[in-house]
Formats: sequence, structure tokens, C-alpha cells
Amino acid sequence: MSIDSHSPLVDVRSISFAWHGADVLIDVSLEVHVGDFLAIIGPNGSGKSTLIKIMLGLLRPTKGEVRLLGESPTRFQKWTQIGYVAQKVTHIDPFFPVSVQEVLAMGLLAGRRIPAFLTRADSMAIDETLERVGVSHLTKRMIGELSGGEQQRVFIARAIVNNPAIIILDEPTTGIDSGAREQFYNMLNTLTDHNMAVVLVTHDIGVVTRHVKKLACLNQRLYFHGTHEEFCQCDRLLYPFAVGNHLIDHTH
Amino acid sequence: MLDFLSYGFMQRALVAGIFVSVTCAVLGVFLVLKKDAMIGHGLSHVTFGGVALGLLLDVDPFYSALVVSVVSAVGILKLKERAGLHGDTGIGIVSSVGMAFGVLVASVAGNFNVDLFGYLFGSILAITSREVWVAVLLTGVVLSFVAFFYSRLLYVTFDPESAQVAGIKTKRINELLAVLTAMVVVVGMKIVGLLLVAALVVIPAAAALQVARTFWQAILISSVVAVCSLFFGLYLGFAWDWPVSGNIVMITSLFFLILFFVRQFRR
Repeated sequence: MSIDSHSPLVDVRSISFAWHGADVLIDVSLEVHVGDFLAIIGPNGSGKSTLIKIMLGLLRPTKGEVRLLGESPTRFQKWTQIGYVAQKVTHIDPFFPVSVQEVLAMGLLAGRRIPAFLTRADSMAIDETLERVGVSHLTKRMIGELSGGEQQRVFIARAIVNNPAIIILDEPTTGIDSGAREQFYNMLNTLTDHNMAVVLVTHDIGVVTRHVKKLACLNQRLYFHGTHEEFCQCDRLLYPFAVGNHLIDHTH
Repeated sequence: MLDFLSYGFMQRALVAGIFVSVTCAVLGVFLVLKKDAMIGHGLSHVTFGGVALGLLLDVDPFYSALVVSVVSAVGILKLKERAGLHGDTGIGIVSSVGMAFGVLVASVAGNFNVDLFGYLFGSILAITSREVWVAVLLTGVVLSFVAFFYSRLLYVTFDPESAQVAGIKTKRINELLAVLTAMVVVVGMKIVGLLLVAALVVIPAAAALQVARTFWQAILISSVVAVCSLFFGLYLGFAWDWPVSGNIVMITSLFFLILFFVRQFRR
């Protein structure tokens, strides 16, 4: 399916959301374009996951609107163009009897007409996708037997198996040790080389800022949305993360 | 050992029992993994109310139970959604109301205690040919549903939020699963009775999940456990005159214990 590279893949327009009378998001607007690597950062309770859920149609905003590839999420049909890795996905039942291959098959077959069965071409696509994220040796293993980092890669593989235009990840480095995080972000970077937009939500400011092309700082409101260089020069960072924070940027 | 199958009533019991057991076993795998295992228990209580209503109105209790059970299944889902009730709370409410209604009706009517006994504890040996065909038809519907919607069912069971983002109509899938469970509970009440039908849904699946390494293995092992339990339950009922419904559930539990120890041994 061809995607218009000039139109935003995700267009969030003046979104507000309240939960039991308490504001969670206030007047948030942002766009995600083809090839973007955007991190949405903010402290706990800043509305990051809520924003993602509104983008994906899992929640409805109290004000404003969202467009996915130009359509409202409630009428959106091309879900194979959207890949999603949920926040608590690694808290799966360790005894759930599915193999890594079956997990990817779920993603591949979800958009097909029923009855949907795996073909040889599908198996090859699954193998190629697992190779892309570096876990091709785990195809037949049960998902519950894998480490947190391996599971996360499998779920990313499931999200990209249909070659979507955009993949959205909610706190993807939960359960991944700091040594593996660099590799993880490098792997996400390679996805953008194929014009796939990557949006990830994280409170892990330090590591992610070195890898992404754009940042959005959220704490109910959007305090910043721009490139990493602009982010480093912007004093508005202090507001969403409370007084007393300093930004130190150095490389070895 | 197979002499007991020479009797027509045993043959009907076995055929109907196999179909119902397989249906319970297959649905049970999904329900146990979705952490909805208690819905079978809840619906069996509601079905009791439906049976009592049918006896009161002099209507075939099978049909009154079916209507009440299906409506309650959807009701449980709506309660969860709209009343913000978590986990088993909706099941607890609906099943208690259904059971209380049945007790009230039985008490007020006063003259169908014997009929109720059969529904509570099962009467597999009194299964009619019509009931055999109902069991066959129901199994066809359930297995067709599972076959057609397998990938979606698996996705919704494994990761409902991601399944929804993938475009799967998770609400509809959950409703269909609940309705089929309701139908299975009603048909299963003849086999093991309302008090024990939930065990047929839960225990074979739980047993299979001790050792299965793929989802298809889980479905297959659950079905084998259920059918073997039925067979030996019928046999013991014939040989030792023990109540068939109790036999079936105890044998199923024995299978669970065996597979539990197999899993421990594997570690």
C-alpha cells in the first residue's frame, strides 16, 4: 500500500482527556511523519500512555481529534499499517502455550479474511522478520521461556511483520537491562531506515535522547516537540520535570 | 470391559458425552487462559434459574435454560463493561441472582423437586436421541467457530489490547465466546448436571495446560482428557453403579493430578 510521504501518518489535533474529572491531557497537538523516530517522554502520570491509546482509538478524547493515515481511529480499517507494542506486554502468562512463530502468526493473520491460515510464504515472512530483530533462533521456543529482552523483540517483530507504516511502542525498555538498551534502540533505528516511523513512549530520558530524531516532552501539556539538538538547548525541559533538574549531555 | 456399550442408552450417553466433552474441553482452553474460567460456574447457576422457570411455565426446561443462560452470558459482559466491575464480580452477581431465582421458583412451585434433581446432578443415562443430535449440532457450531476464528481467538486470548489495535473486533469475539459457553453449559447439564458442568469446562483445560507446548496441543490434550474421563466415568457407573457425573469429574481431576506431576517431574 502506498503512503503519501507529505501527509502525517498520525495527526493529533488539540487533544484533551480527563479521567473522573481530573485532567490527564490538555490541548496536545503533534504529528508523526514517514521515517520519524519520535520519543514521547515525561514523568510518571504525565499522560504518555493515554496519548498513545487515544492515537490508536483505544480511548476517546474529551476534546480534539486524531487522524490515522487521514482517518478517524473509529473508522480506520488499515490496521496492518499500524504496529503496536503495549506497555505491559512482557507481563504475559509464562505458561501460555504459544511459540514465537505463533505470536508472529497472530499479527500476520489478524488483518486477513477468515478463515485465515498460515502459508509457506507467511512462514518465510515470519522467519525474515525474526531475523530482522535478531531472534530468528527462537522461532520454535515458547514465548514464556524467553527473557524480557527477547520477548520484547518478539513483540516488536509481531508489530512489524506486516511492514507497517508506523510502529508505536509504549515503555518498550521495561524489563530490559541497561546494557541491552543500546542494542535495542539501534535495532529500532534500523526500522526507520526502511521509512517506517517509530514512536516510543518512555520515561528513560537519558539513553533515548541519543538515538531518536525528535522528542516530545509531555506532562499533561506538550512542553516541547522538536529535534534532539533543539531539545538540548531548550530550557522548557525544566518545567515538566520539576525544578532542580539539570541537563548534562556528554559522549565518550 | 466394553460390554456396557452394547446397551442403547449407553451408546447414546457415550456419543452425546463425547461431543459435549470435546466442546467443553476446547472452549475451556480459551476460557482458562483468558482467566474467565469462572464463567462456566456462574452460567451453571443461572441455568438453574432458567430450568426452574421452564418447569414453572410448563415449557421444555432446555429451551428456557438456553434463553436465560445466553442472555445472562451477554449480561455478564455488559456488567463488566458498563458497571466497571472487575474480574469475577459480574459473574458473582448474575449467578447469585439466577440461583436465587431458581430457589424461589422451586420453593413457590413446590412440586418438581425430582425433576430439578436430575438437572442438578445430570442424567446422562437418560439421554434421548434428540439430545444426542443437539450435542452433535452444538459441537459442530463450536468447532466451526474455533476453526474459522482461530487466529483471532488466539490473539484476543493472548493479548486483547494488541488484538484490538490490530483491527480485531474483540468485543464481538468475547460475546460469541460467552454465548457458546452458555450453550455448552445448558447442553452439558444433562451429562454431569449443573453442579458439575463447570468442572468439564475448566479441569480438562487446566490439565492440558500443565504439559502442552503449543496451543493446538493444549486443545488436543484437553479433548483427550475430557473424552477419556467420560468413557471411564460411564464404565465405572455401569460396573460399580457409581453416579456417572461424579465419576467423570473425579477422573478428570485425577488426570489433572497426573499431568501436574508430569510437569513437576519435567522440571
